[in-house]
Amino acid sequence: MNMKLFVKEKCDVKETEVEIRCRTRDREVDDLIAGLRSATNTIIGERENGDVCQVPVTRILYFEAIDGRVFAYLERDVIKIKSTLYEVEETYRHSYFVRISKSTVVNLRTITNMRPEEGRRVKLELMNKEYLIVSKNYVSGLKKALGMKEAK
Amino acid sequence: MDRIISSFRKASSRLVWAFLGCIVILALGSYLVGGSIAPKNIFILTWMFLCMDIVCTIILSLDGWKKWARLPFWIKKLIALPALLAIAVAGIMNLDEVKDNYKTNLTIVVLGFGIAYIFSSMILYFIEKKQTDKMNDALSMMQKEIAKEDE
Repeated sequence: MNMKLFVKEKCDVKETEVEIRCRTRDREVDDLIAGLRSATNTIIGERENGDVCQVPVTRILYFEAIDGRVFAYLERDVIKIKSTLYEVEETYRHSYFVRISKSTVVNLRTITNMRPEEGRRVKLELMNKEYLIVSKNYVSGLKKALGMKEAK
Repeated sequence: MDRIISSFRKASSRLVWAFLGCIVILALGSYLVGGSIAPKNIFILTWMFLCMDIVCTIILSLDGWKKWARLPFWIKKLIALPALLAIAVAGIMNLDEVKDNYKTNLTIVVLGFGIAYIFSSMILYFIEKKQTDKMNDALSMMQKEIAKEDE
């Protein structure tokens, strides 16, 4: 595939944009789009046995910080990742991930139900039947992420 | 095991303030009637709070059990409170400082507090449930949009 690659730096651009200019949208262009998507929507982590793996972000149920290390929880797997929880929150904000406590960032796609919990907290039920608690300070952030209201 | 230890720490950190409060109230009562706190009463109070600590630890540890975790918080309180009230009433009945006619009144106050607590929790739950129902609606709408986006 003959392709010209241009990289332009602009100070006023808030988010990195990729524009593909092509004569027709053929198979090669689709492969290029798929490649770009997988590069931005996968995460590299390490299993308990030391195996390095790459998983799609959409498969992650939630991220949790324990003793300074960040773990990504999948339906039947847990992987350790190198980013901090703040970096995870910022990077995947647009992939429907939202902070629900000091140590947890949850994937909104994987929530099946929400219920009230003691002390103005909210209990989340995930698709793997696991429960997570939203701290009262993060409830307004969750509502904002759901498009309900502006956080204070 | 880790869950039991963390539950015990959590329960103890809350109950220690109630224990100290009871000692202060007992001391204040004894001072006002011109007496002193009998060692037996301190012993009873210690046992009372130790039993409460065990009950609270069991309740907090149960949160790891999915069937228990699924229950609304006011039902959990409804299940746990009778045990805590029974311990409190048994403790009060054995205190020497409290006169016999006050014991009945104190028991009524404790039971009244328990019932009011359960009712207020129940009302609070249903008020907050309205809010979470709205959140569930917003979530299902969002998930439909995400599914369309993914397609």
